[in-house]
Amino acid sequence: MSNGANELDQWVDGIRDRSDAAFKAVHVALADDLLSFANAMLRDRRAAEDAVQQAFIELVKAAPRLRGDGRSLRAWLYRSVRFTCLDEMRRRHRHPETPTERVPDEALDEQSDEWVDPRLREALDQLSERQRSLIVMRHVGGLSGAEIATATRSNRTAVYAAVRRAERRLRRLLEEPTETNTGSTATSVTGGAS
Amino acid sequence: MTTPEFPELEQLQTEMTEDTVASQHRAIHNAIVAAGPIDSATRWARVRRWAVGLVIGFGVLAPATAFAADSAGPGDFLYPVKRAAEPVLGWFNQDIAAEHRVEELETVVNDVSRAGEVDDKLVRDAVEAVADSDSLDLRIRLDGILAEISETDRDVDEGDPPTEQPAVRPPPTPTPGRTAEADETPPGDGEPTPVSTRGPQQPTITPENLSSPTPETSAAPIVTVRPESTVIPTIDRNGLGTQDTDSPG
Repeated sequence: MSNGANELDQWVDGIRDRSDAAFKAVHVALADDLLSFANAMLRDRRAAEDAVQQAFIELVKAAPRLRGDGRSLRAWLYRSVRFTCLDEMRRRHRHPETPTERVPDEALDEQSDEWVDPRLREALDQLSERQRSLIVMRHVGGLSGAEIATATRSNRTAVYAAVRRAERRLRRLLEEPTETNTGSTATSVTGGAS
Repeated sequence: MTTPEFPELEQLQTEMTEDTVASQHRAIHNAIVAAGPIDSATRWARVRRWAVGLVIGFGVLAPATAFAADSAGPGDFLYPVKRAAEPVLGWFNQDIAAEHRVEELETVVNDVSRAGEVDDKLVRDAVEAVADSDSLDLRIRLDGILAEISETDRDVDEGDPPTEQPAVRPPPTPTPGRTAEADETPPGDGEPTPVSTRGPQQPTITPENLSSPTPETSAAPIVTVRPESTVIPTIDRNGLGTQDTDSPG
């Protein structure tokens, strides 16, 4: 799980040597957290799974140049997943999906985050992409400030401040009257800056 | 793993199905096979990078430190670096150690605030270094410095009546590299330089012959033409400060 960055230390050398066993062990240890992160960013389970797989395949290529310990490895994977998610979000922005008559093969609950409380989903949607990724990395993935700084290519002090701002904003959004849940999204459109 | 601050976020945790995990493991395995094993060249590249970094680091840092230490004096932080670099610099300039010792002694002697506090070890080091050197210029400089030290010591020591050894101001130090003989010979007439003219009959300052009065030194001075009562500083390995006049009795 996410608090097992130290457990990853034993696999780092194996990852550098492209050991099959090491990759499988790291995948088992981190796949769920990475999937949760990607799913929170994209709200698309299939795309989130692709992002996780893409991160591990990129890790295969970059393995010999990998530096640091298990924490660095975890931060590297989060960064890779985040970049893939950002690319996917940009692609969707450029080419918005149009309604189609094709019915997806998968059941709806397998491809979306229907089980998430709508109020929470709406609050997360009102956060900026950066704030959302910081919140999920910190509170779902359990990454430390230093790991988040590595994953977002930022400095630690800035990350701490940004996480605090994002937390305050999310708390405020979650504590707002349920007016936003009744369909009025006037206040949520302002999004972005905290 | 959700933190206590936001228990609501636990809803965001999802798990991969076994099928997905197996599918991704296959994809990762295929990627590893496609990438191939890490060849030794890649491993060596890592080692090579470190080695090149170290070489460049030493190649830049060592000369820079030695350069910075060049002006360091005894007691300074970089002084040990200066001393350690001297054997290497000696490949290029045999007299570098002697030059440094004389310069250090000169600095201390010229420092008014430290007048009369010249460390014996400093003097001893300078004398030994100059004794090992062939440079006439350094001998001249050291001679002048020692004379100045002698005079300073005598000035400081006010209790001694100057009856036994009258204080005689030594003659001014001549231009370095010019001997009295050389002064009489116009330059450029094919004569060798003063340094090269130093033959076996010229006195050599060594800790051995400095430990006792050397009439030859005063009889055939290289540097200056001294009056008969000129004070010749005599240095031995144990210290400095004794003076003998070259005039008998």
